[in-house]
Amino acid sequence: MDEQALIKAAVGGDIDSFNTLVLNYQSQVYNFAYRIMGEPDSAADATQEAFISAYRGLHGYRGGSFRSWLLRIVTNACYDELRRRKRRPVTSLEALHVEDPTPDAELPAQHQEGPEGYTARQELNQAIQLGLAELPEDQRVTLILSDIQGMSYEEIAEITLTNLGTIKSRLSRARAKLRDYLLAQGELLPSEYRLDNEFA
Amino acid sequence: MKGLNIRLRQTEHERAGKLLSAYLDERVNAREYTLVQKHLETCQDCQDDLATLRATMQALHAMPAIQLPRSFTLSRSMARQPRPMWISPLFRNAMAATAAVCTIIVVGYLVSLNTSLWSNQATQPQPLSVAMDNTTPDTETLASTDIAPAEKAMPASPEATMPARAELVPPVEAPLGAGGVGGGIGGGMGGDAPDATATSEIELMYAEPTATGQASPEAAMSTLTTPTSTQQMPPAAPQPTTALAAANDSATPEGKGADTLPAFTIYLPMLIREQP
Repeated sequence: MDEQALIKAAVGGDIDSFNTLVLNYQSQVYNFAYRIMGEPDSAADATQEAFISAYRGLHGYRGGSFRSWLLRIVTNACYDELRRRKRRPVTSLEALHVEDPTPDAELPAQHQEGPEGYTARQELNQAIQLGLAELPEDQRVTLILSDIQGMSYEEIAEITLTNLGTIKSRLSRARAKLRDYLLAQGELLPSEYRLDNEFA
Repeated sequence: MKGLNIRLRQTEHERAGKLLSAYLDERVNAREYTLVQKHLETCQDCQDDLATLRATMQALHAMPAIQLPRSFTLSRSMARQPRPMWISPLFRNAMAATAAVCTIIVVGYLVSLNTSLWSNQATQPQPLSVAMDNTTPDTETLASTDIAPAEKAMPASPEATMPARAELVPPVEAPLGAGGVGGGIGGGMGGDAPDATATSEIELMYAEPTATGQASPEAAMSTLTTPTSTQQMPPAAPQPTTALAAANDSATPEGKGADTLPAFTIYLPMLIREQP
């Protein structure tokens, strides 16, 4: 059954069809939420809340990219969770430092690296996660959607309900800030992560 | 001329620097692309910025996917639309409990009033009246002991009203509400100090006939009907006393419980004024 048929069945109350959609998107949604929130529990809460909201609000889906619609919902769920955490902060910076997310075992990168390379990459990933947390929320979301989720400017504009000029501006600032943060931490730019200076 | 060139170069540097991110994404137009390319040929800082930005993007692209902690499929209970608050069983139970408690309080209060009225009726079987209604012009002051004007202002049978009123009025110290009822009975029994400004004249006027001193019904009545300036009472409509007394008399000629609620309603503002 294709996606639109699943959506139509889910709108009619077929929860199994909706759960098929959940299975298709839950990894992407959770990873997106995790990068925004910076820790697994809040990310799981936001993800679950987003899927519940999506099911209950399916009648408001007006076609277009279901993934974009879903990511817009999870973005809002993350904003809500971040506001709750601002009111009642529960996670310290130290907790973020010791956070050790479980990488997906299927990723080939870890298998190709030696122990030292793997450790260096882990440290870099943790530094990036901390650097993301330093960004304003709108820049953080834009940067994650673009450079981690690999979405186009148009998709990001659809998800964040902004225009392309705003996306360009947010991305430029976010990348520059994260770059400066990583340079200050001494984590950025191991030579293996550099590309040739030639612009493709 | 040299300064102008430096300024133009600075402006170009800033514009190129802002375009580097979009340049890496190939989201610049032809004019912007030319500008950045031309500037990069001569600006080492921008070349470094471009390299570090590119490395940052590479590091972000290389971020590993995180393993799911669990499945996020929905159960039927999770998918169910939440009920409005007023439909939820918890809210309904709470409202029912609150209503039950309020009912018990009100009923208990009314029963205690009726019981005390009836017990007093056994000793003073005269009908009630609202002669000391604070809406009458004569009740604007309650502290005077001048009996003569009071007798002129009395309704048809003022003496019939006095004993029962003592049962209705709580002492001035007693808080309003159900808790004030019992205190009102005891407080009314002991009213014997008409000269004390801190003491409610209401106590005096509702004092039991067995009380000593000026707390007799006649004296108490006089405090109700004699105009003085020691206590400010709201102005009243013309002749409400007799009208209400007549209504009460006609409705309950024996002055029983049916008189209780209207009478208390009338006295409530007086009681509030007497609170310290």
